[in-house]
Amino acid sequence: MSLNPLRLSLQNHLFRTVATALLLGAGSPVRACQVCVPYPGKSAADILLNSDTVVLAREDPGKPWFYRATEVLKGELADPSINKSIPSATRRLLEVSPERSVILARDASEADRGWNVIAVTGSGFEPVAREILAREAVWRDSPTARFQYFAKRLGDELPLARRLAHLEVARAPYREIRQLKDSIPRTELRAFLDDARYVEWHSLYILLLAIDAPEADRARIQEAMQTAARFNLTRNLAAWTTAYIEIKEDVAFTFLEEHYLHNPDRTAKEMAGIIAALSVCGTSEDGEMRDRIVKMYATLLKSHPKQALKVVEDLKAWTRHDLASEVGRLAASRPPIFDLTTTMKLRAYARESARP
Amino acid sequence: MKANKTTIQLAAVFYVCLLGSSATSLAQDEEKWTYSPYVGQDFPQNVYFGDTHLHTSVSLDGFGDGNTKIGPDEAYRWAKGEEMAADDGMVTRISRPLDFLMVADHAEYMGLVPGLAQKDPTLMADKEGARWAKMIEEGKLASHVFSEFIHDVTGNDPRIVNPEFEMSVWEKTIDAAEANNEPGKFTAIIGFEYSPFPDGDNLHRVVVFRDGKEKAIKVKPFSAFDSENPEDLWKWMETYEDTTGGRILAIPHNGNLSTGKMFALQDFSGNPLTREYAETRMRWEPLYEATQYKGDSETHPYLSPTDEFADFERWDKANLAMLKAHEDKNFQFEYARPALKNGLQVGDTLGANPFKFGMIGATDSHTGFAQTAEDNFLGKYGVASPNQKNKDRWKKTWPPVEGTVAKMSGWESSSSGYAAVWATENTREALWDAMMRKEVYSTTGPRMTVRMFAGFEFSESDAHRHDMAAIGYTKGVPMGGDLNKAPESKAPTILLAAMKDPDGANLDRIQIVKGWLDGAGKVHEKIYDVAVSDDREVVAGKVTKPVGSTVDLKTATYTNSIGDAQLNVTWTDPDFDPAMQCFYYGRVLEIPTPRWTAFDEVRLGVKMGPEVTRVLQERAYTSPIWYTP
Repeated sequence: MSLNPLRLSLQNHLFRTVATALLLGAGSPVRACQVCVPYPGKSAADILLNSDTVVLAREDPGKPWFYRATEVLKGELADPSINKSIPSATRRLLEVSPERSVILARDASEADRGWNVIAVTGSGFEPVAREILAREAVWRDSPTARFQYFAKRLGDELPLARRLAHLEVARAPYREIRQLKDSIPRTELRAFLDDARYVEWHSLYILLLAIDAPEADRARIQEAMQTAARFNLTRNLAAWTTAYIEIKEDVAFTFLEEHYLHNPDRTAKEMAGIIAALSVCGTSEDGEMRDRIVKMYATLLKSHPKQALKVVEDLKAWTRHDLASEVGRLAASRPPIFDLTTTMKLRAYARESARP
Repeated sequence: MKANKTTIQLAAVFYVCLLGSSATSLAQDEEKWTYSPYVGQDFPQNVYFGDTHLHTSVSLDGFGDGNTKIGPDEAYRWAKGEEMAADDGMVTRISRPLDFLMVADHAEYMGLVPGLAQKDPTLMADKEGARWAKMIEEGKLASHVFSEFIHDVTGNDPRIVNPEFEMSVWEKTIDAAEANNEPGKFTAIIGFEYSPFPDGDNLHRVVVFRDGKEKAIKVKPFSAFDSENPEDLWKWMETYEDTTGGRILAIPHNGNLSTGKMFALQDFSGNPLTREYAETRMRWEPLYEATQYKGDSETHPYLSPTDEFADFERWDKANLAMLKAHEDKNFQFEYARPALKNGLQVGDTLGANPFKFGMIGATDSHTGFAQTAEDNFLGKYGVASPNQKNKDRWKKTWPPVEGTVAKMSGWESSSSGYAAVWATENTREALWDAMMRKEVYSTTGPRMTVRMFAGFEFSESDAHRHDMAAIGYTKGVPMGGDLNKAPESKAPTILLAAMKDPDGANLDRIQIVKGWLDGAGKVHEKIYDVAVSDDREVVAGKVTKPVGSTVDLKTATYTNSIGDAQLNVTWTDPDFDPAMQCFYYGRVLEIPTPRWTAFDEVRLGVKMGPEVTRVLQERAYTSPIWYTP
C-alpha cells in the first residue's frame, strides 16, 4: 500500500455511499434511514434471497481451482460444474477440511448471473444461511419480520451473522431503528464507538446511543456536535445530528440554525450531513417535526441556495408547498446558479406548488 | 668516397629514423596491449541486492500500526546491519546487510502523525493540528484521529495543508538518505510512494530518484491528493526532469489488488490505449514490483493452469481495501505474465508496447526493517512483531474493521522480496541506470545470483565458460534487452546461470517462461524446465520428478542434501517462429524450505491451522528479453 487500507477504504466507501445515496437517492420518498447507509449496500441475505440458485460447493476434482456443487440449497442446477475460481487460501482450507464447503449463490438479477461467495461452512454461518432461505416467503410479505429477525442478531457472537445483521438493520427506516434501544447493551455501544474497527458501523451506534440516552451519553452527543461545528468535521455528521435532535430537539434545532443554516461558509459536505438528518427527522411517520424543519429549510435556502434540490425533494415527498416562491426565485436567478436539469426540477416544484 | 660517405650517413639517418619509427610503433603497441583481459570491460560485474519500497514511522500507517520509532535514518542504519529495538523493545538485526535501500514513505500526509505526536510547532499553529495532537496525547490515535485522517485521505480532501511542514518532512527524509549514502559501499536512494486507490483498487507506485538532495529537494512528493490518476504522476515526473535536469522513474506494485486496473487495456479515464500512452508509460515505468508482502504477482493458477508453481503466496480474494470481491475476469489485467503477453498483443496494434517492463521484488515493510529472511520475519507492521505477547499474529485478521468482503489472515503475509540489480558500481546513478535498462530481477527473499542473456550465436559451451558474462554481452543481450529479426534458420538461445544464495538453499531448477503472439493475434505461454538439479531427467521440457523436500517442521530446518548449488544452461527455443513476437524470462526455484510460519510454530510455540502454508519454494524472476521480428 501501501497505505494500510485497513481503515482508509472503509471510510472512503462510507463517505461515497452516503454521498451517493444523498445525491442520487434523495429524489424518492425517504423510506430507508439515510443516516447510516451501510456498506456494502447488498447484504448476504439480499444475495441469498435474490439468487435463483444457492449451492454448497467444493473444488472440482476434474477441474482444479474451480468449484463443483455438492448440494443444492435453492433452485436447480443441471450441471454441477461452476465456472468460478477458488481463491488460493480457500482452496487450501477445503483441501485440509473435507467437511467444509463454500456457500455459493448465483444472483438472478445480475446480467452475467455470476456466482457470489457467501461463506465457508464450518464458521457457523451455514445454519443462518439455511434459515434465511427458509424464511424467504415470509419476509417477502413482511419486511418488518426480516428486520426483527436481524435486529435480534445485532450482538450475535458469530461475526458473519453480526455483520449481516448490521447491514440489514442500518438501512431500516429511522422509526424502526428507534425501536431497538435495548438491542445492544449501552456499555457495548460505547465500546464500539471507541473502537476504530467498527468505524463503518458507527453511524448506527450513534443513533442507538441517543435513544433514551442517560446524561453521560447526552453529553457525549452534544460535545460531538459542538466539536463537529467548531472544526468543520463531516465524519458521521448526519448521525450525530440526528442523535442530537433525538436527545434535545429544540436545543438541537437552534444549534443547527445558528451554526449551520445561517452560516454560508459551511461546506457542501457539512450541509449534506445536516440535510440528511433533517430529512430523516422530517420523514418520521407522525411528522411532528416537519413544520419546524420546513421553516429551517427556508433559512437554509437563504444561506445555502445550492442545496435547493435536496430541500425540494423532501418538500415534494412531504407534499409541502410552503417554499414555492423562494424556490421559484432561486430557479429564476440571473446568472443561473444551477445547471439546466436542476433548474427544471426546481421550476416544476414551484409551478406545481403554485397551482390552486 | 665523399659521395659514399654521404650515402652512408643518409642511410644511417634513414635507418635510425626507421628504427625510431619502429620503436615508437612498438611502444605504442605495447601501450595498447595488456595482459589483463578485463581492461575496457564496461558491463556490470556485480549484482546488488536491496529494497526500493520500505516504509518507516513517517508513513501514516507505519506509525499508526505500531512503528513510532524507526524513521528513515534508523531504517538505513538497520539495513546496513545495525541492531535496533522497535516499539515492543525487542532488539532485531537484518540477516545480512543490504547493498542499497530506498525509504519510500507515503506521500499522503507524509510525516503528519509523528509530527503531531511530537507537537511540531508549524502543525500546532493550525487549529486542526492542535486538536489532533491533543487526541493523540489522550491515546485516541487509533480510535479517533485515524478515522478522520482516512476520511480526508480517501476523500482526496486534505484537512491540513501545510506545505512548509510537508517540505520539512521531505527534507528530513532526503537528509537521512544523504547521511547514509556511501557510494561504492551502501546506496541510500531518495524516493517516496504515490498511493492512490480509487474505489479501494490499488494503483500505487514507488518513485525512484537518480539524484541527490540538490535536485530532489526542488519538488514536493506527488500524492493522491494531487491526483489519483497515474498519468498525472507521469506529467509531474516529466516536469521534474525538465526543471531540474534530474532523472526519475516509477515502479507500480500489487496489480493483484487492483480489480484489473493495473494492466487494464484502457487508460485511467476508460479510453482505449494509444501509442502515446504506451510510450509514456514505458518511459516512466520500466519496472514492475512483482513480489512483496501483499502477495506475489507473477501469475495465478487461473491464468496458468499448467504451471505447477503458480500458486505461490497469492492474495486473490479481493481488492486492496478488501471491499470488492475478486472477479475472475480481472485476473489477466492484474498479474505480470498476462500483462507481458497482453503487451505483445496491444503493442502489435499500437506500435508500442505499454507493458514492456522488467521485474523486481520489494518488502513494502512498514516497520522500517527491510527484511525478507523467513527465519527473521519481523512482521510487515509493528503490530505484527513476533514478540512473546504477539504469538497469535498468524491468525489476526486484516483489515481489522467490519464492512469488508474478505479478510486476510496474518499467516498470509509474505516475507518477500528484494530487487537484484546488475550494475557497474554501487551508486545511485549506476543502480538507477540499471533499473532503467531493466537489467534487474526479483527475488522472493534469497540472494541468489541469476544472470541471463539471449542471442543467436551462442554455443552450447558458452554457459559453462568462466567468462560467460563477457560472451553474453558480446554475442547477445542481457535481461531487459531486445532481440530483433532472427537470422535465417536461427532461434534465440538463452544463456542462464544461477547460483544459490551463499547462505541459503540449493536450487531445484531453472525454467524459461515464454510468451508469444501468434499469427492470429492470440497470445500463449509455455514453461520449459531447462536446467534441473540432482541429475534428474527432462523430457519434452519437463522434469520427470520433483526435487523432494528435506524440511523438518518440528525444528523448522532443512538441509542442502538435495538440489544443486549452481545451475548453468544454454537453451535454444525449440518452438521458435521467427515471424512471431515473443518474450522469455527466467524463473529460478530453490528447493523447499521452511516458511516464516514454521519458524513461528517452533520459536513461539504456537500451533497453526492445517490450512496454513509452512513450506515454500523461494524463487527469482528475471526481467524478460523480448524478440521482435
